[in-house]
Amino acid sequence: MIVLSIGLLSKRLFRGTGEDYFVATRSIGPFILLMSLFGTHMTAFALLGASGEAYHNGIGVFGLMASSSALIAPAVFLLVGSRAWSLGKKFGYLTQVQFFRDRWGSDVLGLLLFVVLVAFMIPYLLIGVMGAGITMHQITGGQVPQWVGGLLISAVILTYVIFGGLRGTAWANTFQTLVFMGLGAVTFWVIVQKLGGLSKAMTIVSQKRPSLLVRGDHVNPWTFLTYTFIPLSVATFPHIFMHWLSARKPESFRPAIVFYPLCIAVVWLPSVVIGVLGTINYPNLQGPAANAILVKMIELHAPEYLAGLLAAGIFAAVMSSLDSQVLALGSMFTQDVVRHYGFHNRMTEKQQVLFGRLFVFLIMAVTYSLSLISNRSIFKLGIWSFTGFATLLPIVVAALFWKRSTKQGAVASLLTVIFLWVYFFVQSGQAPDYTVGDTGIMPVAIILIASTLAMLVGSLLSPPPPANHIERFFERGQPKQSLHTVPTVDPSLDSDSSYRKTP
Amino acid sequence: MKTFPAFLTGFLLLYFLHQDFWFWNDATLFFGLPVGLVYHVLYCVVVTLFFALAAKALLPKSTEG
Repeated sequence: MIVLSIGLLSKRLFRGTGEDYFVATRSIGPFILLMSLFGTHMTAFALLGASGEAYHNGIGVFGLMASSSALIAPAVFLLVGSRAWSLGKKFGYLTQVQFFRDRWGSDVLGLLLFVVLVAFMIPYLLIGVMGAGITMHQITGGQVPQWVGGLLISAVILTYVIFGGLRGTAWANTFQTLVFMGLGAVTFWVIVQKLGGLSKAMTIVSQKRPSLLVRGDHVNPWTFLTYTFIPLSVATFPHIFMHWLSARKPESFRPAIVFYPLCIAVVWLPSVVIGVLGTINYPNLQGPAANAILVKMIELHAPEYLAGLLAAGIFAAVMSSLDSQVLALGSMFTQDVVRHYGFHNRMTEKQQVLFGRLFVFLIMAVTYSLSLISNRSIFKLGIWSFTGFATLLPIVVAALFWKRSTKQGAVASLLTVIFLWVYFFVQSGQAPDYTVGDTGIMPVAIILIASTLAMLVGSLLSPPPPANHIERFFERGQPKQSLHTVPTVDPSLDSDSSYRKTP
Repeated sequence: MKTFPAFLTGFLLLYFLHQDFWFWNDATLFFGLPVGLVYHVLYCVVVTLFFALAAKALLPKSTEG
């Protein structure tokens, strides 16, 4: 109810333009940016997936995903995010695809990227909807089926995203992030007290399941090393990019860069520890059933009134990601398809936003349908989605920092990602802990190396881009203009061969 | 000009410290938590301090009022 109210309240500030709906007229300050970025990044993956994975594989999960993200994500915000914001403000971009299309003057690349980004986003949406269903099912003692929880969360998110746009989403994310961080700490304290204190509970685990207290054989050293590539996905998530663009000024990034590692520790530590302690009360959960361990522990140990509140904390985490993701998809469809391909000539700006909302509704309907038939682990689904996004990194880095990079290099890199991702996904089958040839090496490492090489070779073997076009993106100094209109490649010039004329 | 190499050096050092093979099989409890977990929580604190310095040195400054 509160997040719905926030969404409706923010609608009162809506200025009726696409830029206001999709990036809040680039007006978000430092604290809201930190909270909305963090809330968007942390999802059912962090709370339910991490505790489920810790239940099976122990404390090593924290090093695998949490502390590696603590190092990688702020570095990406600092080096990639602030530069993307600068170019976004200068040229009025609202989506990644607009930037890439403009940067390399390629319509085909833009369309290909749109399809790939949407495809990689669906498993990510799926873990949120599944997480909501699991939480609702468990917290009601099985009385409410999972499909109802998933449906409820989808409906709430659609409502406040449609009314509030990015401003409403950022405000709701801030509230949700504070809720799940605060309630996470309360959950941790309540459960640990019920188990007789942390030392006593861990001593029980050390007697019953000592292997969970070390990485030991649960984590291959090569897996631990190559997992650090997974958080690079934050550089290419459309919803994170959209939040970057919403910043008021570069200094707004500072709290997100500095405090991100602490926020990660605050959320992941309780999730991982409760997952490990869950083996005391529920020693025989198999496979994806462990996704529910956090909710089961809340249900078992927390008083009834608190259990509902704590479940709300999990819902908050799920919603704070799903909302930004669906808004980013709506933004991409409106800007990268409807506007770019000229449909906007026949529509008002409000009609364009309406089409974005209809697309969001369609994507949510597809995701919800998939959630009804998927039986994969939340953690594994997340990893495949993140693998796809992380391996697009060479395209982002080349666009921002390498003048000699070309559209041929970018297309080669993208096709390499598509081919290898599909190959490894098919190879993995239903294997829960697939690594390349059972070596322990995660597929993300191989795909990332290959896509980097494809970018280098493809660019160096093709003619350099026109100097006057490139200089627009590498001028020193701060933004000089805010166009508030979106530069696009003239479709009449297309066939993927023409760079946009320098204004 | 020298700030980025310094950042890169610090980043690579932290990357190495993340691979804490020295606690790989150590189940000693420290403040009630396994030492391998305590290490990574403290690691997050150190990373926070590192990025406080990095943001100060490398984050672009706004020229608008």
